[in-house]
Amino acid sequence: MKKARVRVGGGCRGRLIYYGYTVYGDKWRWMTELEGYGYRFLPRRDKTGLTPYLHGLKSALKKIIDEANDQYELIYYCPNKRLYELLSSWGDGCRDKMIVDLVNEVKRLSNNVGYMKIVKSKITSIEKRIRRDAEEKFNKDVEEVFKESRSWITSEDGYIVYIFDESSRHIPLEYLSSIAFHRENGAKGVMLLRSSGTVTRLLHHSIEGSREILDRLKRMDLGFVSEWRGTYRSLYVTRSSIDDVEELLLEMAS
Amino acid sequence: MTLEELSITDILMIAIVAPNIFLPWVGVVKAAITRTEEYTVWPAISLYYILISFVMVILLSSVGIIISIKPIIGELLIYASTSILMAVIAGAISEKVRRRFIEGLPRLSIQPKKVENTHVKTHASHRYYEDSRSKYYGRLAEQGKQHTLSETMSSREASQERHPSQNTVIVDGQVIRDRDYIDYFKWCRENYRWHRRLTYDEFLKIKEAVSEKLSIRFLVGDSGVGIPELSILARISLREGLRNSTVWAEAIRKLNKLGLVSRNCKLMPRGVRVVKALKEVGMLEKIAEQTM
Repeated sequence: MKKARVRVGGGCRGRLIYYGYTVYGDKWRWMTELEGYGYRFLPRRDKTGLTPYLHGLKSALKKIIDEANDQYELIYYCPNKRLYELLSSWGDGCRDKMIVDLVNEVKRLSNNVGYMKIVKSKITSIEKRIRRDAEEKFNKDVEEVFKESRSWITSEDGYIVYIFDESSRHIPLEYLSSIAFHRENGAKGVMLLRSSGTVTRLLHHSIEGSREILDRLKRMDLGFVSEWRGTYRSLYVTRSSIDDVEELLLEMAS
Repeated sequence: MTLEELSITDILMIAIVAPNIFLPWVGVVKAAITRTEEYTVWPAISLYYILISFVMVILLSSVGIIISIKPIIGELLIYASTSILMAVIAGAISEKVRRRFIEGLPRLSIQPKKVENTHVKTHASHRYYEDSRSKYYGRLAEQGKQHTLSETMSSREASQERHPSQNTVIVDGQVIRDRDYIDYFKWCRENYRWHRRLTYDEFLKIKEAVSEKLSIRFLVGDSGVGIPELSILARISLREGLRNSTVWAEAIRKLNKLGLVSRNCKLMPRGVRVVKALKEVGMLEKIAEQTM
């Protein structure tokens, strides 16, 4: 049986988790030979901080199955005591379904690969490097999404309107709005538009909590479907096309 | 040594190399004394002559076994090389001379002859612009004086040459009398000599698209918006970093004044409409390239 070592690193920020892995051993001589990075937005916040590691491990195992034909003896250097206990006991004692499902998935994949030995370890520079790279890759991806978007401002110190295409669907509008807010200092707020199939979503994020634009838009828009209003953020859903909504916003602003 | 002792090859070599003593200097002096608005062919001629003659010398020297090189030719070569080297130093010192040397030799055959036969294109709808030109064009002329102009044309520009009357330009065999296009042409020559210029049809397309969306007139006076401003607007919309934005400060200020962009270089509703109009006619990228 061939041998391989797995290192996983990652982190989380609210609903966002980012992770990475590197595999090295008989087939993969160099650490960078088999590595990968990823991120995802969970349906809710992870309270334990274990999901980045579990997702990273899951991705690594999937990649090993894709790359190698033989059975492998894997050594996973587990940097978290709780994760070590969870993996050793197949998720016994954990009531969080999301984590239990992930542990079961990891176990199933590891059985497909061959045998996975879990070794207790401290967080080393490798895990730190993986985490840093994963975060950088995520930030780069977000930057790319903003680069691909179109934007304009309703007036001097007014609202900034961003129009995203469908390729940015993997990043929620809520996250993009918080990033947009940090990018645009001095703006009253941001409005993010994205079309997804039959409907167009508009996320209105204002520091003043003003929803005057949404009220006016609702009156003018014939395709209005529904809306959700929060203190600062409001979501507006319409059947009108993204161009029509933009045209209405342009009309209101000019 | 007497002239009778020289062979035909020696005389040929002398004839080829000798002009290199004075020809570079003719180019340098002509380039220096000719006014910026005027065209002189001598720098280009001397440059090409140097290149051609030395290629010839190398070719002839390669058959040097046949030719017995006389000491006089060697001496001549030394003089010519020294002279050229000094001319190169002179060129390196003076930017004007250097620019004139590297601009290349135009195709002379298409000059005035073709002008007579070319079709004169005027657009009635744009004659208005030809008439209203007092202040703006006066200002442009002043700006023109401030710039270090070089009015010679490259071989690439051969088909886009200036008519002697200065009120027309010839593009692809068409004489164009549109003042706006002439000024755009002039602006290109002053600032972006090597760029791909907009054809007159493309220019008209832009003009119409912009005039339709903006209530202001295109390219006229301080309140107008011209190709440089539109190019900056297109670049802002394409999110291209305006490196050294101080260069574009004037254009950005003008766009801001017209309500097309904000102080922070963000597109405003009016600007969005113009950008959309330019995109519709497929000219957004082309116009953005004008200031790159």
